[in-house]
Amino acid sequence: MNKNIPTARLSFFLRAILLAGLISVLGTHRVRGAISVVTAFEPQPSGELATLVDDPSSKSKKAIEVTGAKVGSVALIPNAPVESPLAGSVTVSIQVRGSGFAGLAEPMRIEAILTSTSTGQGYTGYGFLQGTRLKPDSYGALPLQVNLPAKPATYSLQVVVYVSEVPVGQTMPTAWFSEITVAGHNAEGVYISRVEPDKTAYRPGDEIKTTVTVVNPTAAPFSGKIDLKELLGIDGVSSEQSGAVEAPAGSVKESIIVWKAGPEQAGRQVRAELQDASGRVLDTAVNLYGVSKDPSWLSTLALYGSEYQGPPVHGTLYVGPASYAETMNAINFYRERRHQRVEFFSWSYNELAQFIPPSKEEPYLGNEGIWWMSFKKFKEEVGAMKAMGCTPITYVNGHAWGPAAYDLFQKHPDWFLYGKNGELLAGGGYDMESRELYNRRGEFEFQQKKVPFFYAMFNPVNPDARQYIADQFISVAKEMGFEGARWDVWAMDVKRGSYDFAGNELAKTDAEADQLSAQSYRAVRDLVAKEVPNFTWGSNYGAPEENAITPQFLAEKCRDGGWLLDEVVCTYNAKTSPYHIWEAYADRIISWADNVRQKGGIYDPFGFNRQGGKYPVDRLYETIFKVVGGARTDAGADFTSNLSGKVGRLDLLPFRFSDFYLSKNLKLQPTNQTVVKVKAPDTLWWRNMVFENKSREGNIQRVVHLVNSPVSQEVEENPTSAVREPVRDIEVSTQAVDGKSPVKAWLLTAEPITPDGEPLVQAVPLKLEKTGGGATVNVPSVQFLKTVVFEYGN
Amino acid sequence: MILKMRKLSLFIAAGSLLFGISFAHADEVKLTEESANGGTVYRLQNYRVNLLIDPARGGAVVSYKDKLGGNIELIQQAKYGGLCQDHFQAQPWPGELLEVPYVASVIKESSEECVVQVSRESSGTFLGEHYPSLEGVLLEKQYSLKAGSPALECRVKLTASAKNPSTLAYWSQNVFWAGGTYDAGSDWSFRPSTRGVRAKSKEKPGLAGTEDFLNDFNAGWMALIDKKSKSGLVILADYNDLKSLYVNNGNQTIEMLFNVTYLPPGSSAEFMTKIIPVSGLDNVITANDDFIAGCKVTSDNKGSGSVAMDFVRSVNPPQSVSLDVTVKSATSLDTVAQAGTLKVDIIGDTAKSVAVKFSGAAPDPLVIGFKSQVAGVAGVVNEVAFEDFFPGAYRWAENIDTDMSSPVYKGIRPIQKINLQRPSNMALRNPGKSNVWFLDGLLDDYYRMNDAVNLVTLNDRDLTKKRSFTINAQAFGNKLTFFPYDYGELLSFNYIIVGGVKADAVGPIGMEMLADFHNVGGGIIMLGGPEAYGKSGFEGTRVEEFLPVKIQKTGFDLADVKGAEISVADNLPMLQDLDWKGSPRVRYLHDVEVKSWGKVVLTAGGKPFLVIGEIPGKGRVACILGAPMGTVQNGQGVPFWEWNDWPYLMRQVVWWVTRQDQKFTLQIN
Repeated sequence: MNKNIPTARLSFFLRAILLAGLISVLGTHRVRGAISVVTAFEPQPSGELATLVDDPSSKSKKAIEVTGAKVGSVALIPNAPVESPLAGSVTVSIQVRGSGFAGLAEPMRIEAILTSTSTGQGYTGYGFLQGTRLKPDSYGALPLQVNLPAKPATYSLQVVVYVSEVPVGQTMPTAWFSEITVAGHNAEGVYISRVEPDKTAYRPGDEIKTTVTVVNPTAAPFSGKIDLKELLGIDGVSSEQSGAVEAPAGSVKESIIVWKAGPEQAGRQVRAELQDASGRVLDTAVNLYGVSKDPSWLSTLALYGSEYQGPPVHGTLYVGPASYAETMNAINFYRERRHQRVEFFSWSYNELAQFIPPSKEEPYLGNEGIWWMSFKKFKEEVGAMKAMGCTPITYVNGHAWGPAAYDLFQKHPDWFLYGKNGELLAGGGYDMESRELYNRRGEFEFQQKKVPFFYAMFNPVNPDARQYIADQFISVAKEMGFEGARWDVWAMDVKRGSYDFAGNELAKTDAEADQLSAQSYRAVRDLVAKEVPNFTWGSNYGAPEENAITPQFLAEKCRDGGWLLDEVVCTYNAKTSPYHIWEAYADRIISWADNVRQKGGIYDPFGFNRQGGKYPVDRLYETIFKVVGGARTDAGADFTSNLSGKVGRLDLLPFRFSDFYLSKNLKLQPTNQTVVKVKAPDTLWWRNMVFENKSREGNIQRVVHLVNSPVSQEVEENPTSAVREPVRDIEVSTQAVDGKSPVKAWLLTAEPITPDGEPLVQAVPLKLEKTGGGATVNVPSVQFLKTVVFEYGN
Repeated sequence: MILKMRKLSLFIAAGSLLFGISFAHADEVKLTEESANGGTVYRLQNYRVNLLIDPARGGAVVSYKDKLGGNIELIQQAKYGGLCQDHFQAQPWPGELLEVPYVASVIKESSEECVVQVSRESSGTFLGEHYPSLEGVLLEKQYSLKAGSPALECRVKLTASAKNPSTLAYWSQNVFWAGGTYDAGSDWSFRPSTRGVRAKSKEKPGLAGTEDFLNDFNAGWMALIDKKSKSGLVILADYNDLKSLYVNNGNQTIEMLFNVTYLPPGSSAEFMTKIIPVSGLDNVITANDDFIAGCKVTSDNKGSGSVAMDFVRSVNPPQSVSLDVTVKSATSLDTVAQAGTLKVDIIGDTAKSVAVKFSGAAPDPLVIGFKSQVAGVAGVVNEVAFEDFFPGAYRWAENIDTDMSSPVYKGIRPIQKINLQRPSNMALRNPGKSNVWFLDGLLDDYYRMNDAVNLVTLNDRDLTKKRSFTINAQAFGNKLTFFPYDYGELLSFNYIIVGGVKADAVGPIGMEMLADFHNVGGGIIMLGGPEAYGKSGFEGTRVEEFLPVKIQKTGFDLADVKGAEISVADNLPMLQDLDWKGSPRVRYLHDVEVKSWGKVVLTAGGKPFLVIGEIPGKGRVACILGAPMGTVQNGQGVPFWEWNDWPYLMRQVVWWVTRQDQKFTLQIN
């Protein structure tokens, strides 16, 4: 707590916020209405890690003590029936206090599992015990969200604490657990158990079919209506629908409401209100979906989130065998998380030489010859993704390899690239012994080798080769349903030192190579667009270091929503990298993301070490700077969603308020801009995070991100994941822009408005204090990231 | 110099008294016979090193201490640890020579030099498997330590039995821990290669992996250094003798694999390694008989930086070393900056440092080139050139392209001089047979040689058919899965089909043996293809000498003859009974020059397609100059390799190169 904050002033701001009310309440399946605690438990631990202790601060004067001295697990509730049937969103709240928990370190985690007594299916809510939430002296609730099926059923509860790592700091983390409650809809009133749009992503003009499940657990029949609103931006309502609902006593009714997606490209929230015959609102439920020409643009939502510790599902879509049920379960996992984009990695038969295997090759040897794979399985998966609107993207290794490449090379050696001495240009060479082995793949005893027997690289300026490459993309689009491709390794690149079959060097200078690369890439795009107009494109090598001499190629890769992967970022945590200093990293990510945006691209940087920084706090700040820059955060292990530590859903923030984080109108302002000023300690970073923007109505906006900076100057130097105290009472002021004064201001956040609240993705109007042509707003606190939006008008 | 050495010896003597270290006088070497495990072991020591040779343990050096490197025991492993351990590549490790008794004798004992010899005759049997070509091979290993040199010379002489020839690949293994303890992070191996010095530790093998078998080495040295104590060993060998520089798992051993050697009965081959202790260097960029150097480069990625070098002496104590340093871009080789000259006088056991700055160079990555002139004690001037890759700010931090395979920069590898011993009775072993060895290269499967070879003999169940596959591993070069280095095996074939194999896969010894095969009358058929002729690398080699065509010096020698029809240029008997109505066509044809003794049999588009030749007294050679690639227009006939009679033509070419001319003779009265 910053003791210098004038209390009167703080209360003024809080009052202002409360008066203004919440503009938007977000969170998948978050409901309000007839919700109450349906069952309360005292922990009944078993196992050596837990100790029953006296605790005067506990409601029951007893508590279960768990220390971090030993890695292991303890069940606080081994298995106890929940008294009332449950459906939809349920909150399991654990009263807990703790000492020795620093910042966002994750020494302990906790799971609440509700298991259906009829099907045995378990549903889990995940959380961490983190210093940003726990207090040493008083108990507070740690809420774990569990999403249950829409039809009511009876469940039993299990709550398990895991001590997952030995302590890093000086003090031993110790947690004391008290009462555990299960809150959900009770049997006393009619409620909505689920709002489910039929897809996660729509294109403008698509039909949106939303199913609203109404549960009437009472003994009386119900007659009322459902009002359904589609919310867009901060305060926009882009669609309103209404429908009557009749639910006999003890019934579950599904109502389907249909409308067409509007033209606006943005993340959406759909909000359903259940009203009785008198118009009284009984319950509200929400869900999310995206509307965009290319769902990749809205691809920020995390597949797992930082707290998820369940089994990974993305592997089901990769090379392993999967039954139909396993595949559909995996698809549903993506659906529940409202995923917008999925890239199918290295699934193909022979990459650019031939994506789709010959019909007689099922199963086929794909993925660099490593794995036996099933075309039937991939086709089903792609189809299922497509059916829910999530755009399926094919990974493309730019090499041609395997039998198809071998035969193609034999027929058309002039379609390929050569080195100065006439050698085939490709990474893997060839291996005639492996080819001989491959030819025996039909034999029962056959064991595949790890690498293909032949690699080659197409000549990107050869018109026939270009057409062949384009035909490959057309075939996967038409036969598989892929809606886009993301190149890796090679993407029609021309480099000095590449020769055609006749021995002519393709480019004598780097500039010439750049021009030819851009032309070749565009040529394939144009050829594919003739057959598949909306096919999207992505590529690798999106770092500035990789594009120093390829400006034209970069522009072409970014054009019209090109997805740009930047893998180099994964090395920035090295001490030899200039970007291992947080300040430099932030500047690099934000400025380059803006550069890519200005070129029309979608920037997708890797995390440190590919899987993210060493400590949770590293992953948090990686994510924050990506969110600020408008980079996508779905590349792997970003710190995208953390409710336990009150970070909030950093993946949802840019999705829901895409106008202010992802918009193509955003433009980073120079650090010496003078329009916006922030009065706050230097530890609050904002100077290189001010953006110009334009509203849907054409009004000028300024978007100012406020980041409570990392404790450590360098990345991966904060093993306890310590965080700063919240910065409070921040004055953000703006001058008039182009003669227009600020007329509105909002605060966008995923974290709580004030530290004692709960994280929620929301937009809160801020009161403007006019100062001449400008105005000042006050932000009560910033723990990690908050965003101020000014809109200007007359 | 003598005065200085005496001062040093006094210092060492004082140190020895203080620390209880056994020592030898600076200008003398000492041999001590000691008892150990019921046998005699031999201790050699001089001013610098103190080592123990144990005949009972494979005649290896089982103890080694460098007095300047902390006098720490480097050989800590009780079994299979040691220097100069013998192994034959053909046998699985540990083979029949490790940890077995050798016979020992003292060859020379003086204050200037001591020589100990250990020897053992190979049984050729290991783990129940018999290796005939190793049977009866006598291995004699002589260790020599001289008074004023830190180097231990190890000369291994291998002699085939008087009765049988031997084909063997000798492998010298050095298993020790630099700095006296094994450290996966701080023990680093260093090996010279065309991609720069390959530095590896187990923890940090780099993006290319540990590269255990380094085949693109370009000098005859390797080193294992503990970076913490800046100490370790360098091993020198004759570059020309080496097949591979092997490091186990990044930093656990350093081993020299020598070239496969054919030994006629009773004949011998020698392999020399020199082991030199290093102190004061945390890396090695070059090593030779005169000096060992480490290097540190800095760069601002804008063309400016510095090159700092540390030198220690090697086998010899050089009077001075002068190095001209150049800095060139690894990606744009024409951007070269002269960094100046580094000079250092009188290099001894203690590291001496010099540095030079450079500017005007290209951004990273860079190639640092060195040309050195070394003045020896006797005034002899040696010249050595070497270079290293400096990644600097290059994104992958090592010499590797984004495909994670190809190098950004690849230097030139010097041609190895060969040392080949031939049998006295060079002749084909199976005259009249059609035993064949096929070097199967890229796209050669389109030739349908299997059909042709079967047509040659139809039902000869004793026919020997052997196939080698070609493997192109990019930066690691080309290789063959099999080569008959044993002349007995090579000469058991009657003809060889040389498909798309490259010269570096065959190697200098292999090419010499192919020439020998031809010289004694073996038939050769060379096939065209994407890796053949111009791209093969045979231009200017012993192989090209026996071809009836001269290969163009370009990798782009395939001419597009647009589906030209094959025409008969010389209607020789070998062309009888072929149905040309199928109209075989050629799309791509190697552009060659026919030698004066070559005969064009078939052409396509006016260019030679089949050329044969025979040098009197030697083998017959046929060259197919078409490549089985490309397409021909519909209705224009068929690609030659799909022509129905193609296997028959090849059958008859085989008959011709194997001198079965009677096959073409009509005897109708």
